[in-house]
Amino acid sequence: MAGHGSSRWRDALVGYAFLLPSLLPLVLFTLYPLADSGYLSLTKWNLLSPVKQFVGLSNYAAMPRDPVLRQAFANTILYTVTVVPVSVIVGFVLALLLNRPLRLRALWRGIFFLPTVVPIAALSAVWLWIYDPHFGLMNYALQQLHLPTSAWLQSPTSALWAIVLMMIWQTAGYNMVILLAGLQNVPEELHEAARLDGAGWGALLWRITVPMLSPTFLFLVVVSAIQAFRVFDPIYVMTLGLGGPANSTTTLVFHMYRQAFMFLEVGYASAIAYVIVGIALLFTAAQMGLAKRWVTYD
Amino acid sequence: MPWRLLSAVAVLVSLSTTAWQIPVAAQRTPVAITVWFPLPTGGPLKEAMDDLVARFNSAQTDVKANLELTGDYGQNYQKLQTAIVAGTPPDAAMMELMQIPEFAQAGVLAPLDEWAKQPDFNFPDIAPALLGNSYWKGRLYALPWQRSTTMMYYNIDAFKEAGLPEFSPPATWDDVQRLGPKLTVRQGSQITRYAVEGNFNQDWLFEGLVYSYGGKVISDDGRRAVFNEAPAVRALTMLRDLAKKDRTLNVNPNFSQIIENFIAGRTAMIVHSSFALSLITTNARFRWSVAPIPAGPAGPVHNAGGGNFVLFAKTTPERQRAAWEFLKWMTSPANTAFYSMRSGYLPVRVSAVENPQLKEYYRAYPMAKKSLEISLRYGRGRMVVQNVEKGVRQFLNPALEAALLGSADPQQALDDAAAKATAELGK
Repeated sequence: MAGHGSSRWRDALVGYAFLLPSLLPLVLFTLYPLADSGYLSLTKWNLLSPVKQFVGLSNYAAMPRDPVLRQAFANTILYTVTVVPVSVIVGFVLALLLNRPLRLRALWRGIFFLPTVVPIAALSAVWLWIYDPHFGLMNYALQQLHLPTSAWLQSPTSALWAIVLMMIWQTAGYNMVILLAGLQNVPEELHEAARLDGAGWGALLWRITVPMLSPTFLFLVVVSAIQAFRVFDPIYVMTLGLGGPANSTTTLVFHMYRQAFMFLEVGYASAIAYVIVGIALLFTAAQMGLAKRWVTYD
Repeated sequence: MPWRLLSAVAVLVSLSTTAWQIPVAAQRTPVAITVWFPLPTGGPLKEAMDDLVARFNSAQTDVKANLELTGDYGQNYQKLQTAIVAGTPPDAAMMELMQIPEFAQAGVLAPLDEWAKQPDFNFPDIAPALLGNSYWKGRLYALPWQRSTTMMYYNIDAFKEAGLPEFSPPATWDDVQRLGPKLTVRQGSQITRYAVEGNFNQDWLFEGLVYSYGGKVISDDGRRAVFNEAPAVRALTMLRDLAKKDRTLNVNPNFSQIIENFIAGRTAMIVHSSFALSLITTNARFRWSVAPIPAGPAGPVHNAGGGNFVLFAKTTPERQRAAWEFLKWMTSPANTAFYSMRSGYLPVRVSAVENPQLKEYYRAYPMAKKSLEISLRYGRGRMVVQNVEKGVRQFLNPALEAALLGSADPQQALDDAAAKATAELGK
């Protein structure tokens, strides 16, 4: 018995030894920082002082009294519930169009995928010009079409939407590529059989293509919702590191960043980080729960 | 097997330590110091710094300086914070001047008073206009290095086109109000050229304007926000009228776009940094000049900007001394003149203007000389606040934005912001 037990131990050890190369970075760079920021969220600390003052849950208790945090929360939700569905739908439409035999198809696919490959910092240089209220392309085009113009990034009522628009454009190409791969896995026989039964274009799309792609949609919605929820880079670069005007583009992660590295409120920032993770977990769990109703795996 | 491995390691370790000890005993190696410098990779500033560091390293054998680039001012600040937490700060660094008080208060910077007193340093020669942000609680913590002030640039051709005298830019904001409509070019409802442009919705330009209106931003003890007093409100109301009523001022938060608009002839005047001079010199295809920023009742004020050198406290006395030697060498008249010519920043020593190369340079670029004279004459240090982001900017900047967008009354917006800022500063 004892011999049997020790050999099982040895097997386990060997197993862990093989896991070590991937486990070690995970523990070092994910689990340890996670635990440490959990502790930091219970302290008041300015990064520079050797003293981390333990304050219990007061950082969490301070959150409801932080008006900018409330605004950041609302902005993050607005950003997520617009960017995610619209960019998935646009990606789907592009995928359907570019799944057909088309001249220069590879070129078109490349063009729509391009924004995904270019770093946000580089895109921002172009989009900052597009959105210039006086001399930018966007207002010029709107004027030519006799449509009302906007101050875009310089007005608190439009700045967030300007970033939403840019990010839909930026992420749709990625969604398109994933959905194209999914489309190519939909067996042509199914379409053929349905067509023989007299199904039209709409029925084919709704009864076959969309249900067959539902796992792909689920993947895209979950992953892009998590990404959208922690949006930071486009906010930072498009508002020149300000999250303005008047905090109108400040998101949760941007607020956290500002608390930690500009205001040096590391404890409070860590508490915000924990709340962000908690909300993202709930969000994902809800999506997975809902998914049982509409995702088919066969 | 493990034993053989262990003994092999032991042999290696002992070999490497002895190998390491021999040269230390045999000859004196230079003290190696690390200097952090906020620059994204490449470009003329890096070349100028590399050039200076290489000359420093070959000019003497006691110290070897290694320059490490740390990105922009914001990234540099974050990297310094994390290095301090990790207990491994560099020996010296350049920091954006508003970031220094927080570090000084936390005791992570080395005071420089004793070094600076030494006669061979000639401290009185450091330009007084650039020293305003070097002190914290009466002690010297920073030496100016990569310094600029706000500056006005005007398009002489645009003045001519407007039928105005070519070389008389507006001296006061009243003049701007008067000349603005003439300098603004409209095509229907579209404005194709603004009279003035600047990022007046941020604290840098606004602070200078408040001084120029005879006011203050923060009380002298740094505990109270006073940017809602009459002079500041008058300044903000004047800006709002230009932007919203007259529509002659374009408030633009984007620094690089302001320069591009000026170069493209889309603005007659811009208020920007003296650092923009070299970009405008190379790219403007029209006649232009620099001028003092239009004045309020208290005269023109050119607010300070840029970066200062600091030394870090957590190091050995030997390395600290080495880092000071580096700073002393860098801020010598010849070297600050060299950096000024290559970078477009201001020389930090008064006597640098006697430098023959700099004189030559000013003959070739008279605008650079004019800009320096304006900076040194009207230059003024910025507010000194321990955590300016948390105590001032987070309240003041949204208030300026709201007032200049016309969505809030200047007095109301500044009152609200000042109350919140005072609550934070008083903590």
